[in-house]
Amino acid sequence: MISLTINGTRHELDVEGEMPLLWVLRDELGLTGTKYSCGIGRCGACTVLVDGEAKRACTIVLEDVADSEVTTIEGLAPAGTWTAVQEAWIAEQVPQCGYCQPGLIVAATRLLAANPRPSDAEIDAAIDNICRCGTYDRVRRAIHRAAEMQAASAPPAVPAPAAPASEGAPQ
Amino acid sequence: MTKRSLTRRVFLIGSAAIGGTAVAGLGIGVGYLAMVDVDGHGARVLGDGSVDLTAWINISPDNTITIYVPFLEMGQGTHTGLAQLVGEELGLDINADNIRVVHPSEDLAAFANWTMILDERPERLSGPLQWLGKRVVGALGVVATGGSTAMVASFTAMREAGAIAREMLTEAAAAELGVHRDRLMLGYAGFGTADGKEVKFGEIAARAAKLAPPATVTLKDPAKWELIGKPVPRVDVPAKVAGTAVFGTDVRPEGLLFAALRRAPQFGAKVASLSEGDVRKRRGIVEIVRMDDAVAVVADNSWRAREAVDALEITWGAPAVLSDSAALVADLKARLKAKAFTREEKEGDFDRALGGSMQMINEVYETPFLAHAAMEPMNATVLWRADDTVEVRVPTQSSMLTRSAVEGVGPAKRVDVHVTLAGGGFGRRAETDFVSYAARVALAVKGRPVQTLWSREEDTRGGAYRPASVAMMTAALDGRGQLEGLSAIIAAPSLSSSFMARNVGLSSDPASDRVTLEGIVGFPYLAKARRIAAVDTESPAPIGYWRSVGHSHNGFYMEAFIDECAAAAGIDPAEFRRMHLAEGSRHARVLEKLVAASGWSGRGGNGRGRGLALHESFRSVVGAVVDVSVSGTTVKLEKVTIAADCGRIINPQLVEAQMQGGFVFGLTAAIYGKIDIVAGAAQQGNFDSYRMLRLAEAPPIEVHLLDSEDLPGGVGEPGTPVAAPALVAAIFSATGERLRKLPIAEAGYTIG
Repeated sequence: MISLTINGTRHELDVEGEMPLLWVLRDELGLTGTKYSCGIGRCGACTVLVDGEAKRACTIVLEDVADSEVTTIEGLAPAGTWTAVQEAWIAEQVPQCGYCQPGLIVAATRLLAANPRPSDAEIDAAIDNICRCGTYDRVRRAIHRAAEMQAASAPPAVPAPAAPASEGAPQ
Repeated sequence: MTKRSLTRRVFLIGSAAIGGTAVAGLGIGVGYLAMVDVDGHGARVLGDGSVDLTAWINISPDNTITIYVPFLEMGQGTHTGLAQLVGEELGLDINADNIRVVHPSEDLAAFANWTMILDERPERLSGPLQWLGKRVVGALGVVATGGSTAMVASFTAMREAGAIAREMLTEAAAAELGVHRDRLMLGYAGFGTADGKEVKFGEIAARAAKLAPPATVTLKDPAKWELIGKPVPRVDVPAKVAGTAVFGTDVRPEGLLFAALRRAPQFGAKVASLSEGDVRKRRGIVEIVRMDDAVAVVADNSWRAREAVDALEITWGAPAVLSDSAALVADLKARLKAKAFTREEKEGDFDRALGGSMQMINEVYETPFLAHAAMEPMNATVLWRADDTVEVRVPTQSSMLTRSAVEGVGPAKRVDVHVTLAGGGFGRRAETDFVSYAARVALAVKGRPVQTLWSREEDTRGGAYRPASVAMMTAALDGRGQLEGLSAIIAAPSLSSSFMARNVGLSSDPASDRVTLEGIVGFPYLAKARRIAAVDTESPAPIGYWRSVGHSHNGFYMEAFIDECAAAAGIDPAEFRRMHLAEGSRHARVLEKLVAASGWSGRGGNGRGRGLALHESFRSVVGAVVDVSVSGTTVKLEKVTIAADCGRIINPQLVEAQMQGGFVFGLTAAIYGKIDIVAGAAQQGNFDSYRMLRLAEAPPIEVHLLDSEDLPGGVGEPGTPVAAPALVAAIFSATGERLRKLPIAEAGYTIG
């Protein structure tokens, strides 16, 4: 038995340790939001978070993520709610066919966690998922929008004028 | 006459003429055809208590309203755009929770895409021959998505459906509330009166279904439209963002099994021997299925199936014909040189125009085979029951061809087809190979649903490619840079005959394939003499419909060449086109919009370049300007500006997305796309060898849509053809180098 936590739920799995995480998610657990497209880690359609890091679920095997916390597209926000990234994705109407979008949304979520206000160049460097429908322009816009939304809802990064400069609010 | 043989006949005439359909129609019998319900205006109460008011609209007692869109949603936004038509007339908020937009599971005559088959707008399908053609296509239930026709086919029909339902519901509401219909106010999915009475559609739908549908309806005045022409949000976006959208690979019926496929590595090869070893003993393996040209393993998990199929020892027989892309291109060039035209059309005396001209330009262009590379690999989920009824869940561009493919596999008594969302299609899902394999696998494990999913490599090597082709372009210019003569000769294997032989079991004459010359026939540039010709050949490899089809290469040939002509004449490319376009034409208007929107100002230089292209396809005219900077052989795509006349715009944000996406699709092909076929085998496999443009390489793309009150044109494909010619023109403008062979990566260019 191999144990791991997926979207906050602990699973004990009687599955081969060398099975890629992607197929554990899709065929063993029925979490079909994470997609198969290339199987060699090149396209990003299967991107998930493993202990907060973006990983390609087709190229990591189950035993490598034992005891880890995995978050898939289904686990980003409680049912019926959206994260800022998802909200921005809807506002910018990013998806066309939509097949690669869960991977893109997870990748963007990780990018913004590490870098709350990425530049275009930083987005280019961080997001190498393939979208065959060519939604790239809107992906960029949605990431910027999500960054703005997160900044607007976060505590102010700049201290109030009266406060000493060294005591800025936590970001 | 069986349905299958009828299918063949309709496809035979499909690419020919309406007259041919009429002949087929007379064979079936006019009396029978008169009963075919091509309008779909009737009402019926279903077993679950819900009510169909017309073929397109279903209303449940709980006020859930289902809009049936008989076109595959593969990203182009057709579920949203077409739901807007019904929603407009019926007063719906199509983004509300009680609205469902789905592909129908019945191939009703009213859903048949005669626009695609007969190549004519429904609004212009009148007269006895058209009457017959429409009923033949309808009788067969030719539900099909392709040719950017969904909106063209549905613009009137689905508004009428909404209006008919509104009329019937209005009458029913008036009776229900005991008020005159003039006192009713239409709200979202219900009616109200000034004194506070209310009734929902769901409460009166059964009553409405008893009324006769009105023979004529008045459609809403465009001035009062609330949905049409507005950037209505896509109905499929929330599920796609939540990860809950169900694509073909996501269906999970009870007891589902998974199959992995190994197809012959060479086109046309067959299985010679199969050694199973101890594969059957592996965990989760249910069955090993040997087919004539493939082997599949069925398991309880896709990975176990894939590992098992990889462990089988399979030997393959040699195919009868070894297709080879380099040999094909050499053959096409030789036939071009020998002027072995299979078709030729001339206006004026082209040879004389050449003889008398100041300047002659003659160049040969070349484009390769291309795979579709939809993100969701080909797949189908099939349950073949013991009683030979079959249930198919599949992202397909034709439920009718899906049904016929299953019937070709075994003695199916009834085939139910449920069309899922598709992770891209681009023409590949018009094929039936993924259905046939899945049906053959399911037949071997009767009684259990099985999902047969291709690997990325199987998908890339699976054929149905955009054909390779070669063009010889010739122009004669007078001393003022005016075109005396313009000639385009296209040499290509025939796509239509390859598609039909493979999917419909028909042979057809390659030399009557309109695809070879589409986008060349009727080119817009004025010249005293014009010649177009084709060198049609049989295809050595399976070729098929690929986003924008013949336009994908012919747009490149014509527009890249026009840029060469402009340079030879020493005239600005926009001005050169202006000189040769009929004043006030759609092309001329799009060009002016493009020039203004892009701030066009002549040529580049010093490493900066701009290229322009203009092309009509699928009833829309699209122009694009590409801005690049080039350093050595590194090209940076700085910006793209698009101007488009797509007729009336139903949803500007969807059209913008299709223009952007279509253009990126064309850029990817122009820069990286190439399938090499060597000794019968496609050489590229995964995204490491068949590259896709990525976000870091993709330019911002600004889209300007012309206002128009004309009937809508297509939008899914017309953005693609202009990408390659605008790109090579931009590189020429920056570097002086002419690129006449795609992809440009083969000439050493990289994207920075």
